[in-house]
Amino acid sequence: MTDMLSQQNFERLAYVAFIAFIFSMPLFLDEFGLNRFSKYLVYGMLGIAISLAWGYAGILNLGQGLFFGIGAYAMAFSLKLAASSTAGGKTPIPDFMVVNAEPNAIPELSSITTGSWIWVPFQSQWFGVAMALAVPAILAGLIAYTLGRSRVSGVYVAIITLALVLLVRLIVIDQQQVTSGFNGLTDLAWFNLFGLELDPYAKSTYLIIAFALTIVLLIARWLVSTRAGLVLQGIRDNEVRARYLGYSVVSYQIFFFVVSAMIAGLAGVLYVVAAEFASPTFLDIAFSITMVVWAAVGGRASLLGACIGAIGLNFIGATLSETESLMNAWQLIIGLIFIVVVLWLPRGLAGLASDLADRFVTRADDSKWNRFKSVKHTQSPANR
Amino acid sequence: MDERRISFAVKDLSVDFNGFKAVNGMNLSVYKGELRVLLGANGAGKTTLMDLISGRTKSTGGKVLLNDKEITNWEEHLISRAGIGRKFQIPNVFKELTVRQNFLIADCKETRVLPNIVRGSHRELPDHIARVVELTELYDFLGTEAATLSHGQTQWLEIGMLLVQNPDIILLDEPTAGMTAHETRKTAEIITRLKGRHTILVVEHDMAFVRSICETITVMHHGQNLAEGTVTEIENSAEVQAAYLGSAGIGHA
Amino acid sequence: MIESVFLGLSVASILLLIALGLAITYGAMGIINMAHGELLMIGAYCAVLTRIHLGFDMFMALPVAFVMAGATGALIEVFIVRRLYNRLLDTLLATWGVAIVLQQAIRLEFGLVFFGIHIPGLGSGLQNTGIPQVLQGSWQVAGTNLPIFRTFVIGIALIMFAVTWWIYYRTSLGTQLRAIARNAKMAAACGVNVKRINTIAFSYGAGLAGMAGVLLSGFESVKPDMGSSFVINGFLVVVTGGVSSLFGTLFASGLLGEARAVLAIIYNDVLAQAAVFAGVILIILVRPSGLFSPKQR
Repeated sequence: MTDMLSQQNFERLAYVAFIAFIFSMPLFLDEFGLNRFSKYLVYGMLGIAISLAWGYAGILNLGQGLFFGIGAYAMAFSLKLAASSTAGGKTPIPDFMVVNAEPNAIPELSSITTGSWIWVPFQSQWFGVAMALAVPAILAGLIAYTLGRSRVSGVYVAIITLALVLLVRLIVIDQQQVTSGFNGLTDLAWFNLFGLELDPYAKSTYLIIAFALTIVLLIARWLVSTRAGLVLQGIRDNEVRARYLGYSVVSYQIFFFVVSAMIAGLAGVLYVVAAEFASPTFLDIAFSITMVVWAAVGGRASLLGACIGAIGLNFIGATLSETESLMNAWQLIIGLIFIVVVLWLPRGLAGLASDLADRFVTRADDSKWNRFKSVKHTQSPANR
Repeated sequence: MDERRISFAVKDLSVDFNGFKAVNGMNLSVYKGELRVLLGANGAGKTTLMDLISGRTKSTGGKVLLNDKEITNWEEHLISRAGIGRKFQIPNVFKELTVRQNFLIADCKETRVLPNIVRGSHRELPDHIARVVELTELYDFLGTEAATLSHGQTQWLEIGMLLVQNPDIILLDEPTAGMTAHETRKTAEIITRLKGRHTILVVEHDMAFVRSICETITVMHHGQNLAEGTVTEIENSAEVQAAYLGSAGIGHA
Repeated sequence: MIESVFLGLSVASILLLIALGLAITYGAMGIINMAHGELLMIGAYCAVLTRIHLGFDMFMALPVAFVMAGATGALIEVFIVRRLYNRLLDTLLATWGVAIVLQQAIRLEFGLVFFGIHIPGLGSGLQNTGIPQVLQGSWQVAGTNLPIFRTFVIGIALIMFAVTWWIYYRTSLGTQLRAIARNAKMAAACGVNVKRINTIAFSYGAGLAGMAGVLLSGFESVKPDMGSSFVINGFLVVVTGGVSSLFGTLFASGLLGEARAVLAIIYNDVLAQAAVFAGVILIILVRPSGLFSPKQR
């Protein structure tokens, strides 16, 4: 019994240490470094989203950038409008729309370019935030529902999500009179949190992002520890058995996929707050797959591991990428790390850490602990 | 002749795999609390029949009735919720999870997502699960990943999960396959104990085992119901012998 | 209109060469090779390098590319893919790592940049190869000018399809490969050297991608990341056509290539690509087994 407790304590300790670490960063970093680190925290949030969908629900989403991108664009729409002035009418008009407008278009958001009416409700920044969460949630629900209905296998899900993010990226680039196309949205206003202007370089902004990450991490951790989380892992392991016990596989997958998408959407919002731009590069396949790399390296079936993996890899990468050839070398190393992790360390660094911890504390009969070590890939429905 | 109530029945059930009719106009009625054994040579359609009843395979003709309610081609989880549980020929458990987690998931009175989030997971095993763990002799393995259990233990884990699930109707596909003599005897014991409380349909080849548990046998041949009766009736049936002529009788199948 | 149909056919031909390799590796071995586009890239660089350093033209570059890409494919199979059979999603991830490594190897000129050595033809810049004299110009059908080079591309693709079909259905190698696709364990039990056959098949698919790279270098600039969009398109062709069907792959590449070329005229290139993606996603959802595969038990 004491052994069991010490194992749980080890996990709890890791969470506490991590949270203490991110909240102590303002003591060590200047405002520039802090702004940079807040972006890594956002990546950490994406790591959690990937781990939830992939490690726990068994859905490898190679298009997580879609949800992140939608969140980012929804927020950027609002912050762009807040920074824009009117062009003779009543509503603010983003500068790129003025450039793209027909010569005699009425200078209102509802009519200045084809499709620009979409922007009208984004004059409220909270509408932007709401859309950043709602649209990914609805989309994820639809994707999980249709994929679950047609019972396509894991690989098809990966390919479809990949094709989907490419599809949206093409549309964003093509519809530049609405989205600003390749250039993305820049020159954004600061987010106004109940009167507090979120200066991306201010300590308070960093702390708010760190707080958001902590909440997301704890909620995700709690979700997977519930009975629903246990059933979800059962589904990942053996869908057929789960169905024969009366569980609706689709419902569970939809729920966790939606949560994962909303976390990614929220990450998009926070990224725009910290980085002050939104760009179609968020929808690049490479970015979406890179997120998977972070989670894989940290440990796909460990929420904290995936989160730390994302933060750590980005921190190292940014430190090394001062010159172009070194940046290319870092990319090469990322590729190699990924191969090594998939081949020899499928449970990632978190798996390694739990193995090491195992040497110090004997393994006792407890399910919670085993959950962290359970992704050993034998031939299971989730894989084939 | 029978006043008993029918638990489940199939009527003219058929399935067509690109022209091959694995089950072809099958009729079967099983009474409440009955233990029915399904016999037949390889390829007679026994497993496919179970797939059809439990919704794993969609039929192309005929009906499946559960308590006079039609459940033909429902989705698996809905059929399961309606009260049919199943054990597969090849043990089918959650391999990556511990025995304990397997049992907890099998305790599936609540299957919806949201209530299961609010409920949280158990710290202690509930009594009704603990009893099954005792019965299946898996107490020392609660923390073990199911993938590392022996074959016989995995079979029992699956049977144990069925007991925890506690469905009205249990479909057992060769429950003693690959078991030692001791394990087989123990399994027969467990199954006999279930008789009366559950309606059971068993596919089994081991005639000694069949004699020890069974009242009525249904023989399948070419996807159809060839004969039905007691063990002695079936063993002496000219029809059955004709169907199996050359294969040295069903006792050695 | 004839011109754009013809253009579509040449796009489809490149797709076909890529998809054939993917169809074999996915169909027979259940492997998704995300580095397949990089094998195409290697083929294209073979054309660039042999032209600069050896004075080869495209005809001579084709076999070189086939061998080089094939050899790279064999290495990938032996050192990485082989360890991941039955871990389908993991092969996808590991080969994605391989793809990054291959791209960066070209960008960094195999690491020589760090020593101040520069190899003409490598690096992150754009490279170009010329089309051989005999393939320049065009010929006329019903008053329309059809470029000879595109005709050549279509011809090569069809020849390679025929060769692949012949290997797959008429040689003992193909029979063994199909046996593995049905049931690898059973095939092994029957004396098929599964490892060896898999390596050969993987390597052959890689070689086809290498040839596609050479041909593609006649249309567009050669650069390290040129292959990444092709693997997605190639895989979409495979799933559209039905995994176990070579003819399905042939028709699907024709369908997707044509759809893209024709839609590009009606709308624009970007929307055409988007429409193809949307169409394929729908096809996968409605018929997960592809358009041309029989219903299975």
